[in-house]
Amino acid sequence: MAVAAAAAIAPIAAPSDESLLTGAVVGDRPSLEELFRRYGSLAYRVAFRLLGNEPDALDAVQDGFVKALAALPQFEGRSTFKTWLLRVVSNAALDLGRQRGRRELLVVEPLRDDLGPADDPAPDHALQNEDLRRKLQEALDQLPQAQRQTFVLHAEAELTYREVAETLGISIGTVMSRLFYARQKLRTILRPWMT
Amino acid sequence: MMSEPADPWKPSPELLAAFVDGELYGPEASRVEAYLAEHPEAQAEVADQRRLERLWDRTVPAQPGRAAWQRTLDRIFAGPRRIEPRPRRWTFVAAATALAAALALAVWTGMSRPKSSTPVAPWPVAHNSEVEIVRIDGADVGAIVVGRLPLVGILELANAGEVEITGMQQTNNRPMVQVEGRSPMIWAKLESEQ
Repeated sequence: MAVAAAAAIAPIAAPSDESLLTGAVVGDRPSLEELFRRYGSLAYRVAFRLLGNEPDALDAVQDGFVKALAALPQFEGRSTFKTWLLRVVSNAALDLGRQRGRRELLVVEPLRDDLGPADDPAPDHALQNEDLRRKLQEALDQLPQAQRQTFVLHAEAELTYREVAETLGISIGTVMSRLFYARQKLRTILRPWMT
Repeated sequence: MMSEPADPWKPSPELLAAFVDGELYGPEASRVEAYLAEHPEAQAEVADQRRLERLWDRTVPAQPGRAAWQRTLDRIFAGPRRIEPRPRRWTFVAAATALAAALALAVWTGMSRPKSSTPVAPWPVAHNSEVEIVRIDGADVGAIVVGRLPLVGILELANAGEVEITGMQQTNNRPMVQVEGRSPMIWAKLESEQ
């Protein structure tokens, strides 16, 4: 009886990325929605750091997901779907940035249409952070593309050195080198705000 | 009287950063930790890296609203996004010029050859301001590429008259200036060489 009760409340195992991918590729919408729920937010944050504005970042996420699913045969499971997706999304973001050039960074907060409770910090604090975010974005824009992509994948997506290396197809030594030079430049530019 | 031998070992800045990133384990981590305990200047370096991390964490991008997510998901489900070309001021002028050139060519070829019943389609011609070079496979371009290795992204092209070569230098068999054929290429230093 106890065993039966335990079985009844045991959580159902979440489907693996692989099974979701199989479904998404053949047009199964729930599979795609679940993949998007798992990785959409992370992909967006990476794209946003590389592009600096919401509309372009969402376009990069869209392009990245479409390309990642279309090129799935090349994926071959040699890395995780997460790192594969981040590779494609970050490349899509860089392509988009080149095509569109730099947009003016928007000062306004993104439109809230989720009607959720307002849990934003105090307005002056938010403005201060927005100003800081713009300074950081300007500093990021000054990095060479390869350093920027490497740094964002590590700092925003929290990929390990090995994962960044696998994602970008470079050595761990190159990852370390790029991170070092990226940080050095960011620290120089952002010194006044690093208190 | 013998002085104590100084420990020559010093972690590279990259190794120190890897320690802060939690990428070192076992003896390697212990060694850096021991070094840090005795070198305040290295501790300052570590503190600086952590300050940058805190700054990064304070600027996490705001998430889009639910409707924006839904639109993006719908578009992914619908398939590839249609690329919207950037509006260009000179597109019309360039297109008109290209059409005129194509028509002139069509008239010229029409006069010099027997008439054909097949209509001649205008050739698509792009103005150089509309072309973005993302890769060059050969050295057959009549310009100097100014860049930094590895060459990724948009290449900057300069005409020969815009660049003055003041010296040449050999670094580990990698010439700083490579002159082959008609297209000299200037190599910037590798990141690791800076």
